[in-house]
Amino acid sequence: MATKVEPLRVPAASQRSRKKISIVPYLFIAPHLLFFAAFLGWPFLYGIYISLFKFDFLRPEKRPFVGLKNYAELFDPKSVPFDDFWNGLSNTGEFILWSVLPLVGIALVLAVLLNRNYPGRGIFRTIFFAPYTLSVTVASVLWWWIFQGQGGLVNNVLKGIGLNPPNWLGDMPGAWIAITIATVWWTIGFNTIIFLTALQEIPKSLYEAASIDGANSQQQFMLITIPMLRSVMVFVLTITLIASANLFGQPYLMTGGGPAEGTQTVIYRIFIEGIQRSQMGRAAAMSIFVAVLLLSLTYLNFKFFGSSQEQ
Amino acid sequence: MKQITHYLLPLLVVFSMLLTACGGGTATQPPAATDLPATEAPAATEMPATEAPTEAPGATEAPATEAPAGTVACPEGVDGMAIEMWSPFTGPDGDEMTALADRFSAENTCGITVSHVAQPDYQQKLEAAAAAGGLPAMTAVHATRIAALVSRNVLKPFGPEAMAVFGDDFGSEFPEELWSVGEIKGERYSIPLDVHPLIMFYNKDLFAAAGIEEPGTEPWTREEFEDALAKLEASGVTPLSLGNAFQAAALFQALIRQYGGSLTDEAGATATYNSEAGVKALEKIKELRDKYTPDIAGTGDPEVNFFKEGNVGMTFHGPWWISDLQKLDFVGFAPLPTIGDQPATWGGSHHLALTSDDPATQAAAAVWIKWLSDNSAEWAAAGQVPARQSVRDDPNLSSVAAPIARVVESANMVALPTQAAGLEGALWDQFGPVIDAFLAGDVTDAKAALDEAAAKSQQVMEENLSTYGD
Repeated sequence: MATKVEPLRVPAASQRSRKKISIVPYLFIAPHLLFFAAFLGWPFLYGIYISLFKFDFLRPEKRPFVGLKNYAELFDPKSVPFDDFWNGLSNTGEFILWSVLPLVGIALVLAVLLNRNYPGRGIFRTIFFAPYTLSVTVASVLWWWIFQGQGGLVNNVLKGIGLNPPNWLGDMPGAWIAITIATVWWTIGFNTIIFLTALQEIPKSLYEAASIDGANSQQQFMLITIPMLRSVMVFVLTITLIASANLFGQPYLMTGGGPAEGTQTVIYRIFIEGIQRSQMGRAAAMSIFVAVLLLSLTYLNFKFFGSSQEQ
Repeated sequence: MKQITHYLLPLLVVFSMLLTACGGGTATQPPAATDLPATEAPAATEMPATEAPTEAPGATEAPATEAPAGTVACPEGVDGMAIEMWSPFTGPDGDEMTALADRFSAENTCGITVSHVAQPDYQQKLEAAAAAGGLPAMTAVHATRIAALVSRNVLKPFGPEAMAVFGDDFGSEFPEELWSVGEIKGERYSIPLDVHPLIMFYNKDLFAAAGIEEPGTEPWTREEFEDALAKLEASGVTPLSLGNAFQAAALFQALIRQYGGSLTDEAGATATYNSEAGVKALEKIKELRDKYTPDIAGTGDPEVNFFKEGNVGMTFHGPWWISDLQKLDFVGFAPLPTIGDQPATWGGSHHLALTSDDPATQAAAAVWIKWLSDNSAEWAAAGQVPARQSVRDDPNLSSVAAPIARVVESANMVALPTQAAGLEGALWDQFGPVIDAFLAGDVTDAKAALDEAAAKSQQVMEENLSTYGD
């Protein structure tokens, strides 16, 4: 009796089941993904859509499709938004030059100081982080009162010791100095705490070995601390760069974009175009352009400062 | 590794909760940069309490035709109506408006209640509410914004039921220019409430010491103004407190008309502030600043703070500073002097407009608007010149709002910009920075700078026309 022996066939389904993708990791990221999609992904895509129209959310009856005109305008020196947009972008660039170095440098110094052993260290750590918990309004109004020309704290003190004080918020570079100081005071705590955590991750044994080999503390800092902080440094630089590029609240509240639109940043300009002038299509195009610019900067940052780290 | 989280994070959480709790309350009084007037004056003031005599019960039952002044007949269907009114009055003026709304709610015999809500970031709130379908019944609005808000479907025209409340001749009770601002394409969109002109604040003590006669209710002539500057300088005090930003831009708009020019042509279609008058105005402000005032600049009205210190002869600013400045005994109030060739000043105007098109809601709101207009002498106490001519002429005004009675003449010196959507921004956003740059000395050729700004204004105006035109 010949029985046909069927070749053993593995059903296709079970073959696939061997590679079956587990759902568990997706469940883990689901909550974040949901919020990311709702509050970042969707607005971003909708922003791209809006940027192709002359868009006013209160006038659905007048909302013509204009294609890439809103983008083309940004490169046409004769267009309405050209001057203001590039003025805003260059002001933002100027603030990045003012702010990134102190925001990273001072944070690193503070972190090193706060990493030492002395009584009351925990209190100092809290104090330096505390301003970060304030809203931009509180921080800005506070510093407006400190820097404002008539009756402000700084100028009162300077007058008191017989100096002729500058007009901080009404002149250049006083306005940038005031905004930079306010920003550093307000946000330095975040960078500090990142550096502090990273410092604590550096194995003590490295320092012990170095000191046995006779390295002084300066050499230890340059040859152990700095290299060990490399990846965190890239992260902090990137975050600081993006945060500085997003400057809006401080000039809005402290200088009104002045003097002569000198502190009107690109985000400030987007606010004026979109919210005050109701040119939302144009404002969306500006936002997308700035977002692409920042993504490129971030990419370059990681490429040049971050790559060798992983090997 | 040290576990910093063990003690640091709990502390931070507590700290942040404390601090943000404080923050929420204090975040409402910034030196708001781009916001135009009307919100910055701090702290309320005492004012002579002029309780209007309560009507005898019989009076209100009289037929409408015989109703005494100040009462209105109740339109049908308004009984029990609750009206919500929004406004940008976040200063002491807001408290005054709330008090008036409460009094109206208690007194009116039509069963209407009004709740007043002052909104910081007013315009954004209004637009967001319009998009989300959460608009109140009515709102106070800047005259310069009416056209855009109409184009953008936020404001609704007064229907026949609402207009009936005002009666046929209501418009004739207002200066023609103010009344016509509220009419667009043959429909009535707003009722004028007040005017806020740029006025002069002066230091009575320093004037007396320098031998200057205090100004009256008419604006000073140029000779009187220049004489006062010279005398103040001779007496060894700072004659003038003049900053930049809002103050300089408002003064520029006043002076361009004092020199016989204007911001735009009559139709509001061409920017004309780069005229000879504009150049003169700009150069005059720089001259005054260079000669008579220390270097004051920045937002948040530092020039007023400087004046309050008591060592400066005079300053020019909006009447919303009155309620704060009248607490200082040395401060006097007067119309803006003639600095150029003829009297004129800058000013804005608040109007009352409807955001609901329901006839009954509109009628109820109209009853309140009428009452408010009849009683706008009391609104004057909050630092605004009433729009209604009969109220301006009321001898009672000087007891209710003495400083306003002294500057009431200024309201007739104001020329509101032509009603075109977005016009104020198209002009101000361009000449504002030029003024600041010129005053700071960064730009030296006033004519060239104004030409460039005016060309840009023209471009924006044409864009506005294509956006909001038919």
